[in-house]
Amino acid sequence: MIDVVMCLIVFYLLVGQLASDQRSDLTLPRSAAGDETKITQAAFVNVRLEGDTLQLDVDGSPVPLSQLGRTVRAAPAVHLRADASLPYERVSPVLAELRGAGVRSVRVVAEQAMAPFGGDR
Amino acid sequence: MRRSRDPRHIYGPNLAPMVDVVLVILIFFMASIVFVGPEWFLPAAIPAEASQSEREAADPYALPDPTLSLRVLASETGPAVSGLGAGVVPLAGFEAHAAEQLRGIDPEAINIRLSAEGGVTWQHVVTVQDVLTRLGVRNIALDAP
Repeated sequence: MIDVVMCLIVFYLLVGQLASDQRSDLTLPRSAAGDETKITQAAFVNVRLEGDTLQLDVDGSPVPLSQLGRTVRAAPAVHLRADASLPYERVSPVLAELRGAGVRSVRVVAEQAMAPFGGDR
Repeated sequence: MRRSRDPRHIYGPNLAPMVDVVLVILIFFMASIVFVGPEWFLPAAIPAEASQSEREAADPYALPDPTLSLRVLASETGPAVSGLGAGVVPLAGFEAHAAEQLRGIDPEAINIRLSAEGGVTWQHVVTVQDVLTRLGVRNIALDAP
């Protein structure tokens, strides 16, 4: 029993660690619609605010805004993971930088909400 | 001299406290995993060309843009949306309003360009995108300066 429980602990520890690495400690916006299909080899751009500074990372590696386009240019798709509480005016420069690199679409990453909703969340 | 063993005693470490601790740790990890929910992906275009208002400023005789420009506003009563039908609609009532406005229109033929004013959070913008996606609109673009 101890062996099984230990294995379960290691499993949950690893899965939890991987999940937290991928999400980059972001509070994702909630959405009741979307597509669950993940595009392989897509670049995940994580956007969050630390103090008053915008922090960007691509697949876990910190990237300055000016280098973002160059970093994701070769990726087949760009997944945009921005913190739900970010003001839109802090996200739009990221979109502008992606557009400047020739990226014409992104896939906005949201957390699945169980039921349709509206209003201030 | 050989130590006598009493069959009524169990020799070795007591595993009961360890089992307790290990089970508590297991429950903690299981509970923390549940909070990391699955992810959705909402496709959005990044428009390359200038917006209609910018084009009108450059050319007053420009033809109307077939794209609907929606703007998320940060009003005193909470976030609101303008650009779909007349007036400004609170975000809470946007789904019913949008369903009414888009009735009888093929949602896949509509292009929507979404922008937001200062003070609007990313969640509000994604909420509008979510509502439009659920109504069948596929061509949604996020405005970039």
